[in-house]
Amino acid sequence: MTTSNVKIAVSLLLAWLVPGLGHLRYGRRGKAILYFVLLSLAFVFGLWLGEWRDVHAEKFPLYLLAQIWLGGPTLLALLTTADLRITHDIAQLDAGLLFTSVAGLLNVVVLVDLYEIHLKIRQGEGTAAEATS
Amino acid sequence: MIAHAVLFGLISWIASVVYHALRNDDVTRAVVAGTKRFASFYLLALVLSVGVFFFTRWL
Repeated sequence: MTTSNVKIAVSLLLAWLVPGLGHLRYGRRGKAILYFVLLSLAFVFGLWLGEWRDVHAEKFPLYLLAQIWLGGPTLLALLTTADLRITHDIAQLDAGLLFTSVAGLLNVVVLVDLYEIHLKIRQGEGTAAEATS
Repeated sequence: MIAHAVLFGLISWIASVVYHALRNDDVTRAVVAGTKRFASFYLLALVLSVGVFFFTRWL
C-alpha cells in the first residue's frame, strides 16, 4: 500500500468520524469548516427535535442505515442515549429523524468529494512526474 | 404546518449549500450559490403550495 493510499484511507476514516476532518488533512480548510458546521448542526438539531431519542438501533433501524454514515456523532448518540425511553408523543420526531438521516447521507457526498480531491492531487503528481522525466 | 415548512426549508438549504460546495472550492461563493438556488426552489414550492391550497378551496 502506497503512502498516498494510506493517507486517503485514514482521511476517509477521519471524515466518517468527524465531518470535514478529512478535508482538513488535504488542506481544504474552508470546506472542512463548512462541512463540519453544517452537518454537525443538522445532526445535533435533529437529535434535539427528537428529544435525543431518534438514534436507536431497535426502534429506528432503517434510519440508522442513513445516520451511520456520520459515524462519530451517531456512535456517540447510540452510546449516550440508548437508555432513554419514549414515554410520550414527540411532536417533531419525524423532523428529527429526517435531519439526522439527511446529515448522515450528506456525509456520503462529502466522503466522495474527499476522494475526488485525492484523485485530482494524484493525477497532478502523475502529470508533473511525466513532465520532468 | 409552518414549523414543518421552516424545518424542511432549513434542511433543504443545508443540502443545497453542501451540493454547491462540492463544485466550488470558494466557500463564500458556494454559500451564496446554494442560498440562491434554495431560495428560487423554495419560492416556487411556496407559490405552488398556496396555489394548490386556494385551488382545492375553490373546487
